[in-house]
Amino acid sequence: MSPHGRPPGTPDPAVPSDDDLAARITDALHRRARTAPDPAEVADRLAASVARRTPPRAVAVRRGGQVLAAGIVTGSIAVAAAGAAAAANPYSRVAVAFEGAARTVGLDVSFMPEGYTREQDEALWAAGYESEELGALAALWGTDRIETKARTGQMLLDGLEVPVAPGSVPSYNPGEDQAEAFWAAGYTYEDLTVLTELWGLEHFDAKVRAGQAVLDGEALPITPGSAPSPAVTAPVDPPPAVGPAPGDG
Amino acid sequence: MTWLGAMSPESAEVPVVALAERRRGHGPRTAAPTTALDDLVRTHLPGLLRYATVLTGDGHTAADLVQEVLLRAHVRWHRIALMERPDLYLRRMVTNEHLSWRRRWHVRTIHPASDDVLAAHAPPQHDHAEATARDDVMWEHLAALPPRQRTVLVLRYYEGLADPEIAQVLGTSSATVRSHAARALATLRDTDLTTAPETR
Repeated sequence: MSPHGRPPGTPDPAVPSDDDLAARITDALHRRARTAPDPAEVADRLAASVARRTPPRAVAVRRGGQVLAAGIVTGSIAVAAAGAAAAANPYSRVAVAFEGAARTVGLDVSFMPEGYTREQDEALWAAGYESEELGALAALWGTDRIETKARTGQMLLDGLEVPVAPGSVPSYNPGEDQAEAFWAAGYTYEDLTVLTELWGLEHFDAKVRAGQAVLDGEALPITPGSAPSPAVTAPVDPPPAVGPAPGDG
Repeated sequence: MTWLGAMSPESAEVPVVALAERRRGHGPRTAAPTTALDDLVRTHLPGLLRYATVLTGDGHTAADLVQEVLLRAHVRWHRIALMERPDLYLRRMVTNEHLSWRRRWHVRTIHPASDDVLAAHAPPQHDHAEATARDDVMWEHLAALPPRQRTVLVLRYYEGLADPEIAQVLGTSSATVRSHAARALATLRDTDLTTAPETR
């Protein structure tokens, strides 16, 4: 950051009003949002991933109410009868219909990010890697998401040993378990504020530390509910309801 | 799945994923989800991508992140779909995934899109160099904020969520949301917004 070096109380034209600051933040975020990827491309990649992870099932390719071909769809759409029929006559209606069905499960999709191939991606998921292990590898290598996936997938394709094994890193939901334990122990927002000031942490970090102490059976500097409630000038929200843990693997 | 956008009229019946089974009665008997995943993906995917892009600063990372989150959501959609606000829950998943990766890296990993990329996406009528430069500087200051403070600003000023909704996304209280926002805005007010922040 580059804080102003102006004397206290001196107005600075570079400092926007609250409304102007909010407007500038909004403008900057909306301009950034224009660089979002094409949803259709991501939908195709997602469809391919879903297809790879979906158990085999029967599929019928229909036209006009008639079944033209039937087969088995797996992650890589190995289709028996339909595939054979299409291969026998690639210009037949069966082939056209089959190709349409194939596209819907992600075949012929080439929207992979630069430097990350479909083969690497498939090797990665086939080996059973999840976000937790990839995060550990990212920390180990200092790489971003996509480079981590690419490198891991390529190592698998090359038969190399990846330093973090699939399934070896527990699911990571930042602070959720600790937060749940903290609120469940009866601590209040006022208690959290006291701990925040005592430890010199942000609320989130203080809540995680306190919650971990609760989980570990350790004593905290204050007991639940011991911090006085402020005079009621504005309602304080209760702790958030705990739903299913986002990010579960 | 109908959201694939590639269904041929010649192939009225296409391979389906697990959600279709729930439509046929294999889902929870208490309250079957009324909105199918494919509909929700069609509804929410564009918004999630924009949110993730603003959160991460990079379209490729955003796509990867959203894809991974939706793959997870798909597996247990029968639970998520029953929620009052699955949209907030999906944003919570995206946020957690983003923050958890950031925490593991121990380094700042924002890769802002280049000016050329931004210019290419800007509407011509707003393609003023001055406004672009001003937004870029502001973006860099936003990117330099602590992750949770920046996330609060994104949810408030981009997503337009109220503090209780932001609290739901972040799994915290409205008071904490207000605290994050106040700190972030104070930092920005005390910053020279005419120049980019120093590189960390």
